[in-house]
Amino acid sequence: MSAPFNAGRDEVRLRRAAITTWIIGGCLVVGGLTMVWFERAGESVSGSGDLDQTAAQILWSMQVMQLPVLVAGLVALVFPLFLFALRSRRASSSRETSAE
Amino acid sequence: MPTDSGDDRFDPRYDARFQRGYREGVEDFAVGVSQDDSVPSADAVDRAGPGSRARTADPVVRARTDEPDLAEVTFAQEWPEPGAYVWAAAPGIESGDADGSEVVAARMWPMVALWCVGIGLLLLGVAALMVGIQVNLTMSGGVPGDSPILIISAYAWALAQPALLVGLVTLVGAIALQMIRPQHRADA
Repeated sequence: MSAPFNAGRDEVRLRRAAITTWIIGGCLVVGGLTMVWFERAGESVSGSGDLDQTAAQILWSMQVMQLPVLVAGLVALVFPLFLFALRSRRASSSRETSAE
Repeated sequence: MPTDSGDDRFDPRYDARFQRGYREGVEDFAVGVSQDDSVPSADAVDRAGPGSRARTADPVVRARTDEPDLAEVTFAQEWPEPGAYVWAAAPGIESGDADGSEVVAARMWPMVALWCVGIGLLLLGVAALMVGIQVNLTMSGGVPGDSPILIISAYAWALAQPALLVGLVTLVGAIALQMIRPQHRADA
C-alpha cells in the first residue's frame, strides 16, 4: 500500500509548490505596480526638470520592465490552477479507467 | 473495480482510490484500517489467504473479522450508476447529489477557479482600458502630475495589457483542459 503514501506526498509537494508560486506571483505583481507608481512619480519630477541622468535611466528601466513583471506575476498567480486542474483531470480519468 | 467474483464489493487487494464508489471521506476505510477495527486490513486478509478472508488463525485478524464478514462489507453504501461519474464530471452539469458525485464536484474546483480567474482578468483588463481611455480623453490638460486621477490612470494603463493577455491565456488554457476530458463510455 505504498501508492497512497506517494500520492499524499505528491499532493503535499504540489500544494507547497503552488503556495510558493503564488507568493512569488504576488510579489511580482506588487513589484510591477510599485514600478508604475515610481514611474509616475519620476515623470512628475522630470517634468519640473530636476531629474539627473541616472534617475532618468532608472525611470526608463522601470518603464520597460513593468509590463513583463506584471505579466510574469499574473502568470505565476494563474499557473498553479492549471496544475491542480490537470491533476484532477488525471485523477478522474484514472478513476473511470479503473471503474471500467 | 469488480472483484474476481464479478460483484461490486470492495476489493482489499487494490487501492481504495481506484475502486468504484470511492469517496474522500471514507478513504481511511481501506488505507488506514487500523483506525477502524471493524474491518480487517488488506495485509491481514492477504496473510489469511483468498479462501479464508474472514476467518483466520491469526487472533488479531480474527478479533477484527468477528464483527463483519469482509464479504458483507460494501465499500460505499450507495453505488452510483456506471455513468454517474462521467456525467458528473461533464462541464455545465450540476453535481452534488447523494450518489457520490460530491467528490467529483469537489475535485472540479480548479477548473471552476480557472474559468473565474480568466473571466475576472479579462473584465479587469477591459475596465482598466476603459478607465485609461476615459481619463486620457477627458483630463488631457490642466491636471497636475501627482493628481490621484492620473495615478489611477497610470495604474489602469499598466494593468490593462497584462490583465488582458493573461486573462485570454487563462481562458484558452481552460478550454484546452476541458477538451482533454476523459472519453465517455459507450454505455454511459
